[in-house]
Amino acid sequence: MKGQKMANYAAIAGVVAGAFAIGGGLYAHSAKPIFGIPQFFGIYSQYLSGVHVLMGIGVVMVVGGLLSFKWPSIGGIIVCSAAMLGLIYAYNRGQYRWSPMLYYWWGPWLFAWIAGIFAGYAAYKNVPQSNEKLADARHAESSGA
Amino acid sequence: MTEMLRNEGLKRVRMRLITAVVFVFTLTCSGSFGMEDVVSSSGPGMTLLMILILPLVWSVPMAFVASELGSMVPEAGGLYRWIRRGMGEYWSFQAGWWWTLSLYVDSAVYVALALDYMEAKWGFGGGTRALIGIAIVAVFTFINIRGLELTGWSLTIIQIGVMVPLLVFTVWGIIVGSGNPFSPILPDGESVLTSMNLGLAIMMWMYSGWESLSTLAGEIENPQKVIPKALLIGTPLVIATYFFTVFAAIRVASIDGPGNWANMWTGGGGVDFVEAAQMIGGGVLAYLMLMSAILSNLGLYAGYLATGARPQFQMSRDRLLPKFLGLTHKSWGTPWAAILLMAIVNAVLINFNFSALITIDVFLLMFPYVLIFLTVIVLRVKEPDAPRSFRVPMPTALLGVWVAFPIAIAIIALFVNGTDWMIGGLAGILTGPIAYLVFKNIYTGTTDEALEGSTLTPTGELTEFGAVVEGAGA
Repeated sequence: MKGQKMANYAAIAGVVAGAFAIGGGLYAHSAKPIFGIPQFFGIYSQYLSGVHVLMGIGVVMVVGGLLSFKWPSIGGIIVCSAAMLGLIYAYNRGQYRWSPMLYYWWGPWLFAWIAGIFAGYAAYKNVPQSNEKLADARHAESSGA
Repeated sequence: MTEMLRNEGLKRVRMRLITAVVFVFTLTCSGSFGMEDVVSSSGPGMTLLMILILPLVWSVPMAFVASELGSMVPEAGGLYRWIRRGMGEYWSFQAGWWWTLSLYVDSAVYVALALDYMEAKWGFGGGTRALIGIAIVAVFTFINIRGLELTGWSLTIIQIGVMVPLLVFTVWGIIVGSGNPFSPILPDGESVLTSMNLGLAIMMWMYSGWESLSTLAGEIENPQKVIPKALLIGTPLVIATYFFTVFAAIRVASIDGPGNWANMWTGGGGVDFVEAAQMIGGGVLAYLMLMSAILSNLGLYAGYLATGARPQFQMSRDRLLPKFLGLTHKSWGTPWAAILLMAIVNAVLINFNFSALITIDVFLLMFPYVLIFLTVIVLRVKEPDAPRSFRVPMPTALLGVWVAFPIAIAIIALFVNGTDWMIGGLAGILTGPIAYLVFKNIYTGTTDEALEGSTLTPTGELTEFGAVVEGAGA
């Protein structure tokens, strides 16, 4: 695979993003910062506390990162989507949104973005671009060739 | 010369310089509505100084850089194709995606603002508001699909409607107003930095849009000459418009007392341009000013509907977005599917509370700006001899120093807009890699050699199509 080096970088960045989230969750478990009530878009559950979400999303990111070694596009999508979900969760904290963002979500976001960039480079190298001129392709389509 | 394809189905129109200037003026200014908030938050003196100084490190570099890149790569999609040329497919997709996403939300804001002005004056209900909003979107969608000629005429008429009341107000206000608009420089107890916080964000917003006209390059004859000229004429015009109108507004506000500038804000209850017009010209001038404010927002909508749709069209033609976005109208030669999709999203958004989405807006726009500034330097180094009919008159190293200022300002802006903006924006940024990974795997992208509408070969020489574009207006 041409983009294996980039895939490896994407995988490492994805795992680091997950490690940041899990580490943040473990720290938050002892530091007990104010994350607001455990809910997400009106769904209330003890599993939606700041600590649970950080660690849960961290695990998803680690899995996404590991998948990136073999399938960088799938891994990159998982890692970036997880980070995005985490940020939406932080935004959903209302008046308490700044603290989780500032101390806990910046690391997962940054490394998820880096993972996405490397996964993108891997996809660029792995997916062969079309060399057929689009007009020719359209002509072929319309003539049923 | 290498044979490369023109963008099939796109029609090129002869755009007069004056029309191109109107486009630039609409996309970067369209009146001064919104500046009132800068005066009350940053102080009158600081506002006027920012109007004069900020362009030197923010909008003038962008206007010059857009001119150079637009003259070198005069292709449909504008900034998206510039960045592709300089930094490759991945980053060009990111810039095109972020910019488009931002404009999907941004253009809806202008319709919502126009509706707010109308509702404040005529007080209609939610159903009427929705119908008027959809009607506005439908009218400008038709105008845009009909072609750039009609869009240009519409913008010209709209800008006459915007500027005549503003000009009357400005001259009258400077004559009958009172006080020194530069005094005080800052609000009491504020430092330069704290006073600039909100003001800088609004001002950067007011001074944005210089890259937008370039997205229409694939549909204008001789774009590499017309667009840079329009940008260079438009820049001082925009600065002068902001300066004199705000100067007059502060003097008018001061009629009710020297500290009345602190009550200048938009959104009701404050001294905005409409209220200031009422103070000196009574109901007639206030009514004309209200019309000016409504038209200003409608003009911005028409302009951004036109330019916002083009990068996604070109990305589709480059096999990076769904095929239907690359469709063109058989008779009018416009990318109707891309325009229509944007209009449908706008029509939906204006009927919902989309304040959470607005938070991603500025953030998503700043990243493409940074990429544009980096691209001009990369292309100076990578392709120093590629044909450019306009070149920023400074050596590459000095240009690098100059563009470092707007890059720094863009980065600062990411942090000064508040928590909502930052979190929303960071989440929005992540949609870029996700979208690329999805669409790249589905549609594969196109090699540089097979790109439609490319004016330069991958080695920096004019293609046959590029030569036709170069000679189009000759």
